[in-house]
Amino acid sequence: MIKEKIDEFIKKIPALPKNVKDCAKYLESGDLTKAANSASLDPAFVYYLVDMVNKPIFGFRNYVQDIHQIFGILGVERASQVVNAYYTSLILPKKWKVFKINNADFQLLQSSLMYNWNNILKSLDYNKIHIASIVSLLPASLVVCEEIFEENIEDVKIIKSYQDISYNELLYKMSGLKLFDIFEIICKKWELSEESIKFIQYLSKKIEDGTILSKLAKYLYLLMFYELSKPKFIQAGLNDFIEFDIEFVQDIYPNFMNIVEEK
Amino acid sequence: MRPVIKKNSAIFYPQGFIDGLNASSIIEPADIGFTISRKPKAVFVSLKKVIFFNKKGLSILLLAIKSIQDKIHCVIGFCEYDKKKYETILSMFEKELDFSLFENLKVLSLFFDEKVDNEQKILIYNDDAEQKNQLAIELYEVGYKPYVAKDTVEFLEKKDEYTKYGIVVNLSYIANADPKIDVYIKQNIIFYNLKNFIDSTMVKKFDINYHNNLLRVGFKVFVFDITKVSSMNIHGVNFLAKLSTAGAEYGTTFCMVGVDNRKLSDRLKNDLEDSGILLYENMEKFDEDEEIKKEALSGGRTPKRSTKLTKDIIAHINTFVDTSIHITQMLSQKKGNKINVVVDKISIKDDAEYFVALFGIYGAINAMLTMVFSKNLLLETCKIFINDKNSKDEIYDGLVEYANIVSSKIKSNFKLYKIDVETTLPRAFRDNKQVLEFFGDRKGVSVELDFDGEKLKLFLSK
Repeated sequence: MIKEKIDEFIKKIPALPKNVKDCAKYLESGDLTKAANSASLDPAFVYYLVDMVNKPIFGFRNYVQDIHQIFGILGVERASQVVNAYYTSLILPKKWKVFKINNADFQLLQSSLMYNWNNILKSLDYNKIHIASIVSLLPASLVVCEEIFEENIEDVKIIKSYQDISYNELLYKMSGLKLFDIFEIICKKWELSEESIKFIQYLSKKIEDGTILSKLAKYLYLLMFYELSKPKFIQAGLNDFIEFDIEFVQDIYPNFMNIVEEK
Repeated sequence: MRPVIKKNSAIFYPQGFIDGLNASSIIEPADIGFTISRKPKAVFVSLKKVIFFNKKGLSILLLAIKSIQDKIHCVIGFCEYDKKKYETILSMFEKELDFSLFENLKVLSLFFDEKVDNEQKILIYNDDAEQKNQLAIELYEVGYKPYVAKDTVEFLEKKDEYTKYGIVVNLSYIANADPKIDVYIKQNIIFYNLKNFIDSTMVKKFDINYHNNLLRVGFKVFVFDITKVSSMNIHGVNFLAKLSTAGAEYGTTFCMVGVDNRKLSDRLKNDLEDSGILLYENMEKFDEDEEIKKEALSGGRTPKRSTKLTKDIIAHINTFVDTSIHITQMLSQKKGNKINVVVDKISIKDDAEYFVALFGIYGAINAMLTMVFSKNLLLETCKIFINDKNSKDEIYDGLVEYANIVSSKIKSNFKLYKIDVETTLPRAFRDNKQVLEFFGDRKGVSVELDFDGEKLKLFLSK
């Protein structure tokens, strides 16, 4: 039963390693040196970090493996994004069944989201660390979807061929929970800041109250579909994991296109 | 991406952005094959969740759905868009508009649903006078009586009223109709919509396997609608006459609607009548025949062919039962258990609290699976399809969708054992007495299932 599956999934989410948690705290207070010191104490995190930032999208000219140097080049916001990306790597499935991707594709999606999100925030002149870093956690909702539906994916595909229903809606009809609700539970388990949780709620409930968070949520929502409309991710079946609400983003669409197409 | 199959339409729902780079990933070869296998009358791409598209992207999607059209002669195009998108498409494909456009699913369903509500209020207006007339003619032919606004002023005057109480057809476009034999069901009557010439090519165009299975499922009245046929020769008449003679074994009545002297000589008419086909001048005359309607709704005689359970059915009983339990469990989120298995006649309480549907399985195994749902379990199981629990139509539609899912799963489960089977369209019964009449004394395996106190009965028969 689906509710049991959700509980089981949440239960097995690992706690964050102490040194990584410390690293995140130092980044929040803007102390890059202490953050790098803590990060260096966790070999798995170091390995992940070096592998991630040497991908072409990060634009490093030479191969870099010194953590202090990496944090120095990335700066606080981007370093926080990479830390959050590491969080999601802890819950990645060994093999994807619902979506036709692998963990390298997942990382590619994360990196591309980070890159465009940074351009958007820069263009909107917004630089709060919690909001900047949430972008790399967002794909965790895909992991939630994967874990919940992988057992019954063939049946779910049959259902989806008789009803225009996203994985998100299907989950809601079956359990009363949406993917972002579960994503929120995970973020709370990882002790994310209240501001980050609030921003997730703006995104999941599509709250429009004229605040900057509401505006940013629209940009992130559209960015997610912009990325998921890339051929690789459409083929992977990621495009309809939640339903796209055009109305929600209509007002920011022209400016969004200017930003992402300009790069 | 798989299309959503609803009644007679297959609709693809892309989301976000469509351009030359990603369009070929939206409808892939496997999706084309899947759609062809479902034989829909209409194949459309919905633009309701698309925020950006360009000509290159739409052209690639069109190529994909045209390849479906080439195989099954369906109507193709785009649907669910606003005025801005409609105008963009018109200007993009100005001189090459060889596909249809339907502004929303309500408008689309007017053309392709089997249910025609003669009282439905419809307002038509299109800036292009030729299109306006085309839309009106097509709707008249389907059986509606639309109101055609003479100009923009009149359209705007009436638009609000029709938006509230009816359907407005304003931003739609019909491409030239494609010649084909389509089949639809209305009030338990099977209609074959014939077009152009009826000649020796009928043998190729007509899906005889599908027809035979409709007979097996128990449909009693079949109509050849030749309203859009321009002429018919002796080969075409012989083919239809043979169908009628063969159908006699099942106690079936064949009718022909739209008969006039221009299409049929007296000799051909006699040949048709001799084979037992009832001839009607037009659909109005056919509609007046209450006897035929009664016959269509009756359970009718049981087919003369063998109805005894066979070993192959018994050997695979678990596939039928386990699949039904599995799908019901998943959709209802209730645990299912087998309570009782007996070989007996079907028994159903004649009660509004029970809902019945069946579909036929044919190919390597020939059987019929009937599902008798308690109302509560049906509502729980079909909650993703039913929005209004008080609407009988929605409940029956939900039941049919459920049966579609079970039949698809049964097909794929048999495939695992390298057993190829096909399934017929599900039939939902609106009157439980009809079910008893339909089965008569036929025996089958009756399996009683319990889902947290709610009942589902399966009846597997020949």
